[in-house]
Amino acid sequence: MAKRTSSLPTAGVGVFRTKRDRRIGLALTLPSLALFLLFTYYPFFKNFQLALYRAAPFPTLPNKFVGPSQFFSIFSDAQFWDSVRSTVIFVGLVVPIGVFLGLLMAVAAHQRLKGIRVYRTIFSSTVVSSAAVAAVVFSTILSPVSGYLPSIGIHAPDITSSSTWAMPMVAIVSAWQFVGLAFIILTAGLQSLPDDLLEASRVDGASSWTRFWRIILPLLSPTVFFTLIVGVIYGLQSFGQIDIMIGTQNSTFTHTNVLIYAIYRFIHVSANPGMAASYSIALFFITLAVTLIQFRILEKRVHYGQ
Amino acid sequence: MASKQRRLAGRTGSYALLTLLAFIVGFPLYIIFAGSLMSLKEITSVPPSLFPMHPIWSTFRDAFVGGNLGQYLTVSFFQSGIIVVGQVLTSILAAFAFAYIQFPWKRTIFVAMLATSMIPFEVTVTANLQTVAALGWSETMQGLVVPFLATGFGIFLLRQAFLQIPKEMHEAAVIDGYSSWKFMWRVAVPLARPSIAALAVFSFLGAWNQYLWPLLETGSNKNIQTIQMGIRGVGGQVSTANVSLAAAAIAVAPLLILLVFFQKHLVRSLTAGAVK
Amino acid sequence: MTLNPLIKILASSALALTSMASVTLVHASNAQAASTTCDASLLAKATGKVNITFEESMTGGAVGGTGNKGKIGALIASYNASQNKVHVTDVNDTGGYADTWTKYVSSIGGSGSTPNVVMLAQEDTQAAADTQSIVPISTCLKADTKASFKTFVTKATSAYTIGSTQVGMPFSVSTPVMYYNKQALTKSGIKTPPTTMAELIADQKLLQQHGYKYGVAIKKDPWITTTWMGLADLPVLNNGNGHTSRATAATFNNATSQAYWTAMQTVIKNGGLASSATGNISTAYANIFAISTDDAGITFDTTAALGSIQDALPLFPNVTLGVAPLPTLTGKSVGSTPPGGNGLFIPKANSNLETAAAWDFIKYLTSAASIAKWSTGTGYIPIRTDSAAAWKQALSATQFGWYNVAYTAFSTGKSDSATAGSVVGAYADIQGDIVTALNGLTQSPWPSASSLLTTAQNAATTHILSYNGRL
Repeated sequence: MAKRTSSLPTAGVGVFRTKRDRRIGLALTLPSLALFLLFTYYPFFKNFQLALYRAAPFPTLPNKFVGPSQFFSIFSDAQFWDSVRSTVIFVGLVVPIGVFLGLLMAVAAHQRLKGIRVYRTIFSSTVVSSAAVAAVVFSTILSPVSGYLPSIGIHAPDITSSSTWAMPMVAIVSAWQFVGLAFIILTAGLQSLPDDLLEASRVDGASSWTRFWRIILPLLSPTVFFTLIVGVIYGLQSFGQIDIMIGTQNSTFTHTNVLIYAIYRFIHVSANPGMAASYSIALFFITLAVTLIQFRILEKRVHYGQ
Repeated sequence: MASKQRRLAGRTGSYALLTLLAFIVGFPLYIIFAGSLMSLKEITSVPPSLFPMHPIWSTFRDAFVGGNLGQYLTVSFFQSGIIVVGQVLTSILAAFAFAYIQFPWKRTIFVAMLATSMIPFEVTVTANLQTVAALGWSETMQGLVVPFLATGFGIFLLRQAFLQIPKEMHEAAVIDGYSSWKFMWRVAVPLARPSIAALAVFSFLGAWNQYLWPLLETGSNKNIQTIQMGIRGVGGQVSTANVSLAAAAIAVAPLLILLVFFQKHLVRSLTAGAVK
Repeated sequence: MTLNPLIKILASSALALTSMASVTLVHASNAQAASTTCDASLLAKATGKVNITFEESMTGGAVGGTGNKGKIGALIASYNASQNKVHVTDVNDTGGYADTWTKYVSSIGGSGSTPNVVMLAQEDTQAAADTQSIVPISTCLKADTKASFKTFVTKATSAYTIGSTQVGMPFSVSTPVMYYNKQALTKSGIKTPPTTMAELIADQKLLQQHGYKYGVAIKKDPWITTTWMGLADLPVLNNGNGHTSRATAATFNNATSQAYWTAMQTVIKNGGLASSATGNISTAYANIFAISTDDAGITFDTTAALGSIQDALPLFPNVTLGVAPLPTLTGKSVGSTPPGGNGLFIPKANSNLETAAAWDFIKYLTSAASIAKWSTGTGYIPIRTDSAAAWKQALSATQFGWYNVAYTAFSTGKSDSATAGSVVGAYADIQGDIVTALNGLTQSPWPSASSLLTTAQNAATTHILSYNGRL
């Protein structure tokens, strides 16, 4: 679909305005709205109610009402802060690696070279791997029993028992998964940049480095910003790799018990929805705070327009 | 000429960088396929062999049969298919309404829908399990798919695509007396097909690779467990790395095929004004 | 993006929907059938077949072979063929004991169907009782005047008993033993396998001098520590290891456990392999694989692995398997080996008829003949002394040599609450605390055993109290 700058759509204003259309309009949004209300907003608020009860260990026994004390108690729990720390380190590893590599690949592949399509497919291919798939292959690669790491001189211990190696390994797995998506988003951003400006700078003889830093990056900054946001949300939700590679028994010791995994353990291992809900509320506010901070700090450096 | 040499050097440099990056990023996926054909000894030897000299095809049989992957794959296709259809349909309807129709509370509802992408699913999972149980849908296919039939991202994407349709088209439609419904299905949707296709691919990828919700919701009901659970089971039951890799290869293959054909679409859908 | 409309819609949905929340939250378990009797006469009077389900989590063989999963299937089939009142359907969980337990708890909460008989790990006994959803075996024992279980090894039954109530029926018992490669020991000039930790350390050096890289492989499994406690007749929890009344504190930090842990630490410091107790088969049995690759000559592990080990032995001509009791501090033990393994439980969700059928099935599974069959080749050892003769006959001389080590350790020696294994609700958390300490023990900077055990015991006590507080 060619973008025609001459006929910038004004559809947003509402082409169809009759009474019948208004009813149709509302009705069209109803399916999505109903699903969102039931499965996103309702559970989100229900967390607040669940957090007020100390859950019995088993569904056959009654729950005790304890009020907000359960939620506030997590702030004096060392395990909560360990989870927060792990989450920060995890996201702090996954997002920069993912965005940096994605950006490098997007720029490198943004050239008219023969066979570039093959490279582009390889770069975006990590999106096909799920957490389970990534965990399986990286378990093999990173395992001390396999020959991959030893052949480049790294003697890493078993991931489930090392508090120094576990986090970096899991972060690498997550970053690898994210890189494909980052590449796709950044490539889209690059492709929407005005070609004439890029061509002009190339003809002008500016070195690639200057071109990248002074021209491409500023123009690309909205996309990079968007990728960072997506990356942070992705990092905060990453869970499968930790579950398969490290497991519920080992995540505390290896300091990989990120918030989302702690929540999973409360649901699945200790059957404690009261604590799971409390952590979920905390996670939501952390996500909100991080996103708002990102908007604050980074948006200043984002160049919109030319 | 100097500039020709420079261009050649530049091009070689580019290929070198591209190949290096491709190796770094593609290595794990390569190992999934190569490793699934190798013997355990080849994987554990130092240095490990990088190419299966004597391919062992039985790993696939062991993974497929021993891990009962046929059933898991079928379930995943079914589950992902339903989610794709659901997400595409609900997104088309809502996105069209936002792009073309004026109705009360339009802005509020739009914001509310986009805001759902800000709430990580994991934050809602505890309560969602209880909701699903209260509806009597625990450990059922409905409980597995229904929470995911709508997507804020899809609405956003398709709204962008609909907004790209040139003004002349909908002006003509209004003149011709098209109702909104007719315009949607006769004009807007066909024109937005590439973005819809891209949304379908994104949805399929997301649904296929889901892990947390299927893990928690399917419980003990093996009949609705997805391929991701299947891989997890193979890892635990069958002893060897190459068989686990074979299982992973089986799980990844459908998506890889999709990606090879639709990779360009995925990028294009995002450039339709969405990413700025 | 204006906030006002957003707040409005969120607020209104919150108000409208949290009312629904209170309904679902206090939703107690649905009114189900709640069996209260264990009346065999119901089964006798029943017309037509009673169909019941049996949920278990035995695994198949790692290298070909049918493994324990195949063998339990065979037992079920032979029960079904031996009578026409009850038909048992096997439900096998692939995720191990934890999987079965999680599913069971979900089912009593209303999601999923509750089995009529369920195989749970011995450690689940207290939690099972706390769910108030189990028909205690005592009920069946009192009602069934004909059956006798006097030939059961006392410890096996005590392991599932809280106060005066026997909650579950013992079925499989496995214990940790010492596996060693006879060829490796001979080659290194070691005449007999070590009986003390000091000998273990000395033998490790000899093995290493003769080319066995690790010498000894130690699995970071809390079970080995709790077994050592039982051998020293020391409880790991208070209140009679949880048997007399509900445990309220952990007690496993003492001079004995510290001595064992210091010895383990020495072994690892001297180059031994510290392997994980969880993960897939190649991770969880890395210690045994190390023996097969001539990197180690000695390790500790469960007898339940013997079935798979036997299947794999022909692939490793460099290994002649030897089994010996765990080494102790002094070479002797004042206590005895506590039983691990699994037992059979009857959920209350049954109808009375289903419970009667379940009891009939359990009696079959735990009959002398069945126990003898079950113990042959699975690595589980007989829980009844009157199965021992048939069991011995069914095994080859070599096999008997292996299994008898564990059977002797289990069936002889002191029988009290310290040697009957522990019962506690939060055992998974406690195991996690011990695993955390074991991980710290086996890596630099090599903290002291006493500091690690102190931390672990405090953490375990906290977990026990928080679990008890939720009841």
